[in-house]
Amino acid sequence: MKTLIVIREADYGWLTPLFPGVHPLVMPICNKPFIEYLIDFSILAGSTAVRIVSDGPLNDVERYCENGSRWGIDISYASILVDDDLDAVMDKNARYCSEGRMMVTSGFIFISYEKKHELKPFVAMAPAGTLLRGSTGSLLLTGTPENVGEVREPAPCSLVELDSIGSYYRLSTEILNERPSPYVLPGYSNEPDCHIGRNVVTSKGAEIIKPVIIGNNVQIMKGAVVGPFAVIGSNVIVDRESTVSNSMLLDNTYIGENLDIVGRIAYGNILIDPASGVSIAMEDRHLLSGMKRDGIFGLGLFRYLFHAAVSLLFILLLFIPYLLLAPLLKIQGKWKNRTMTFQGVQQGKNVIVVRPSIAGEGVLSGLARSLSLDRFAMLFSALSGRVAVIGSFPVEAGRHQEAATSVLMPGYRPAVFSYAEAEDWPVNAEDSSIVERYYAVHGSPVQDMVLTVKAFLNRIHAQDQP
Amino acid sequence: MTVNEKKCKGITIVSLNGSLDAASAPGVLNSSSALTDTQSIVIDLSGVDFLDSSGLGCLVGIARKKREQGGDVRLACLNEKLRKVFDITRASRLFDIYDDAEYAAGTAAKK
Amino acid sequence: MSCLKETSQFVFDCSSLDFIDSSGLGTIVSCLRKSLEHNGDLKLASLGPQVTMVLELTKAKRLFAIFSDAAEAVNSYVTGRKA
Repeated sequence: MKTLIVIREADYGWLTPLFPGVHPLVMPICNKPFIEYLIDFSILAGSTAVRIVSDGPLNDVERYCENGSRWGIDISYASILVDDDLDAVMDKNARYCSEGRMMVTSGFIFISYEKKHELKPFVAMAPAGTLLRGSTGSLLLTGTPENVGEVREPAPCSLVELDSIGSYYRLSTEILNERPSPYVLPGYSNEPDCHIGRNVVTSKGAEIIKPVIIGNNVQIMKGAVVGPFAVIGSNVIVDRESTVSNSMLLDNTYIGENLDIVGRIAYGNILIDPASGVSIAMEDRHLLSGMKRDGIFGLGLFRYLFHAAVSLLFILLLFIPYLLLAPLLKIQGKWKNRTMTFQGVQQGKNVIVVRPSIAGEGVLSGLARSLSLDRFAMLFSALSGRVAVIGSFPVEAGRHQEAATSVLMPGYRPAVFSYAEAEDWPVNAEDSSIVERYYAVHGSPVQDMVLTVKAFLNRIHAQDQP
Repeated sequence: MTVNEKKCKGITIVSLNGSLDAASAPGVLNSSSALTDTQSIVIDLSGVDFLDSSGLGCLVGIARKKREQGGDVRLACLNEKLRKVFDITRASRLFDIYDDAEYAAGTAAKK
Repeated sequence: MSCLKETSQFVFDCSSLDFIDSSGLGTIVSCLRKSLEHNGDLKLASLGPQVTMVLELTKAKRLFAIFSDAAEAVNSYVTGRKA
């Protein structure tokens, strides 16, 4: 069997103004994009191929679903015109639909199902025609049914209409509450109503109350209370003493200190009341803001001057040791100059810096490493403002080209020293990103200077330990 | 760019092969009278491996002329690459796009 | 707050206020504090849905007596009725 998912711009027109920039088909419902639920359902119903058909753009959907190999099925895409009826849609996909039985979902609908009932035989045996119908869409079958065995109880699935922000919110809450959930939700879960993603940092004194689902790269600060009924997306910070309950925080949202998010949907800098549909947009350091990448120095010229001054200080400090040690190590062959290309603040804009490697066990190499002489040349890049003196551990260009947007966290700022080094965190992209992001949001020039010195000292200290 | 024609249920299916760009687009119009007369046609794009804005403009031009004179143009068999071009440029809103050229001709004949 | 010399009882009519951020909120809260210092009060009236949302978000809603319109708020000073 094959599945045709037909969805029109008019079906989800209500959603676009509320969530600008997000394609409704990849809108997360409990941290899982909407379309994935439909794909899961199609697979459980016995489909080997899914075609997504729309009169609107599908490139965002395609970027997420690709060719379906992730699910072990074929996913293809097709365009239709605004006033094509279902017959015209079938005509336009005649070749795809030519192999007999088809399942067609039409409209912005969610199909809920239970784990205990098997969908496949039920769908296989159901007669052609409309299986489920709602005011915003339907599920129908074409072609002759198969006889696979005994008759089962009536439809193990039902249709949920998505026609307002309220219905979207209710659906998420219901899925979170359904235990054990038939929908495989993303994240680690050792109890049915608690799903936690990768790299979730909960500070001392923070509280998480089930049921809750949390995405990747999330920081919950001291005294914050998350849950019950909280859906937290990826790249989210809930700052000190704030509470989030009966709410959804979508990806890339920063919730300031001392706030109450109760019965709300927050998306970047937008706060929505799902009951009334009222929304406000604010970009406020103290309340909520979208976690986006801003200029190389978030705080402008002042911060740049500060970084330049600090790097100048380090250049003066390290000038003599550099002059003494570098030529010696070069002669010994332990000092190798490498030119490296790092991803800049803006995607696609790379920064080229000299970052030598210092090999060997000797006293001299150890001394050079502990004085961070390998970063000496990079200090000049900081002086000219191409990199920051403290910020993120630079990501090599090209290494994460595919997933650059998701790997580079908001606030990424390639730098000589990284915040992670200052905090003595393990330097690997996954773990350090969170501390870097924290400072990207909370940092101030003075703190930057303190942390630069701290990072420098940490590196000296690190050399003392074998 | 090569252009082939065949009849199917009284409708001409014009198959384009190669790249449809600024260099080849003007030649396409001259290579087949079916593209410029008033009859409805189906353009089979399965052999087109490259399409740029001039190529797209050429297709839109053919469709506009035909529609003004009561005919129609249907497109068929877009490959992955072309479908992405149509999606991003929103040109998919301007055409009826089928996944089977002969089926498209069949439904066009019934109209 | 020169009008503090004349009175310490205020009503802010917010019917035309459609947006407020943290600094705006800070100003209103400091007005409230000054009024309270002078044994008065600051009551809010005719809050729009957006402004209400910000007040709920920041827990500032519980600091203020809130009325549906300005006249009611003014009356409450006379009658001593709670919101």
